Amino acid sequence: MHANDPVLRFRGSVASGPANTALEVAGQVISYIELDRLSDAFANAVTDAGHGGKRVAFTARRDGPWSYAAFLGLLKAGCAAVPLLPEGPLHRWNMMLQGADVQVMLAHPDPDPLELELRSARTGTVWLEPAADGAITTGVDVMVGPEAEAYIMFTSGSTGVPKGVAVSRGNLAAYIGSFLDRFKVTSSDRCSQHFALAFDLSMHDLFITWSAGACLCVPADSGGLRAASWVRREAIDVWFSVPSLAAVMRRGRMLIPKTMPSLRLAFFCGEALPWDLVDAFRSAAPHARVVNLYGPTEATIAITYHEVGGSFGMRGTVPIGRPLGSDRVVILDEDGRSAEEGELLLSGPQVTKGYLNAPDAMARAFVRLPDDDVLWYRTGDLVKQDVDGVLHFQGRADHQVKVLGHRIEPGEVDDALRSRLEGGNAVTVPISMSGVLRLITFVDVPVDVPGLLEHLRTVLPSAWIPERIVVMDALPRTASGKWDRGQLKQWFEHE
Amino acid sequence: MNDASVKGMIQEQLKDRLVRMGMDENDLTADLDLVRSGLLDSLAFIDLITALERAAERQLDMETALDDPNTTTVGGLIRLFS
Repeated sequence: MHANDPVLRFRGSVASGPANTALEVAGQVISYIELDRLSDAFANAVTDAGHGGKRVAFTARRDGPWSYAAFLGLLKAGCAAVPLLPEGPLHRWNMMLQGADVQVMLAHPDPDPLELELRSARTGTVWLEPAADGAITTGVDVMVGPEAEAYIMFTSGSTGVPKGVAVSRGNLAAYIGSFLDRFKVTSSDRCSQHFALAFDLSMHDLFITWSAGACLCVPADSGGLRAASWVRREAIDVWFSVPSLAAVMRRGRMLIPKTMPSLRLAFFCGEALPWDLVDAFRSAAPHARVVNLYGPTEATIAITYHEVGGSFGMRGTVPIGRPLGSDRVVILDEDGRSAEEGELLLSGPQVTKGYLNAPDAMARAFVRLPDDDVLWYRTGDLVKQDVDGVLHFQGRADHQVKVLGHRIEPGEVDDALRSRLEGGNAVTVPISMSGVLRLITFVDVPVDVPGLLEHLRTVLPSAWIPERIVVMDALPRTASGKWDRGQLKQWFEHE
Repeated sequence: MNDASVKGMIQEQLKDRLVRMGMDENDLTADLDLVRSGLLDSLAFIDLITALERAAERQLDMETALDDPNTTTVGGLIRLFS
């Protein structure tokens, strides 16, 4: 096993500080030894039933220790954790479970209505209920190699089917090692847990915190409305969120100077980080070292970093920086030649083996380059490298957008609508509304808008649902015959 | 502002959002939590509060107001602004 394997690192933290707090969630304080036992119960349930090493899904709720222990227990059993966003929708869960060929699920002891619906719909699935009173036996680690899958997370696919990315134990270990070599998180630190557990950045929260022997603190409110007072009350040391969360705090006048003095490290990832937001955040958290992280799910959590340092009053967005560890980057221009500006490609120990059951997407995104025998991941992100070798994010090569941190292919919304438009067309474009990106869908046939929205809610998560559906006589095209998204944006902004 | 005018303003501000979630103004009961129900994300909720502040010509101590869990309900907003 890799020295930075998440289970080995967790065991190390249990050995060095068994009574230290590992997790605080929903008013419960759980020590390392308790979390070890809680997660053993999951590992035992899975291995006793003969499902060690398989993919196991569950609704990843943040309202108690259950999901946190589940992640750890599944890794102990050599399984791949397949977390599902608790809000659903059911249709998407089914696509994911099918796409990842999941046959085993964990049954929550207090299931919500959607999980009950899933249970009655998936009668062929094995539902396991871990013993609620902790482990009966202990120490059931299934030893697995770096190739074994650790978790599967899904990203938006332009064809309407979410793409599953399998991240291996070796990928995760490489991230843990590189991150902790660069940033010292210690056993006395209290770390934030803002990310939804079906979003890969949450894997940083769990496994960096537990590898360091620190305390993972889960706020009751995840939207940022009470984040500043929570940091102060809970004396949080290490912050990690999407920039949008800090933007909520700024918009709500909660970034008051020196009101978050406990923060020592602040990491942002998931979308471009504006410099003016960094300045506002640092005024509230004057002792925090602010670091911008960048990375797609396909390359395990985050792969480059840029430390903000002492620069104030800069314009634009913070660079995405340089690789955290030994992963390599290359920039290719439109002709596939190495360049200083173009599409960013990644290769190295954090880069995953690609998508499950999606050969077309796989062939497009995971490529080999001449004179080189390794797999490179084409990020679709356009970057520019400056004279110091620092990478700057310039935009996307496709239409993918980030809406409040969610990675969304607008084509997925259009695809979900197509069957309801009787031959008409739908084009979804991101539009900045009071400083935040929102999706607006334009259609070129008369439709029942509330009915269409109702359909979308049954097939897509809420962040994907457009703010409005606008019916037009015809949709504008460019000279080359493509949809003129720019004109649609302009039209909407003038309305 | 009185209760009815605050309620009216909330309805007006949330017109598109109600359609998006398949709800109508009758669903805006006093105990409906605008954020937990998924009707608004946190940024949209902040925008609603600032619109109400402008109409009431009064700025809240936002942190104190938001620390009260009732603030994100329709009834809570009406109490804050009327």
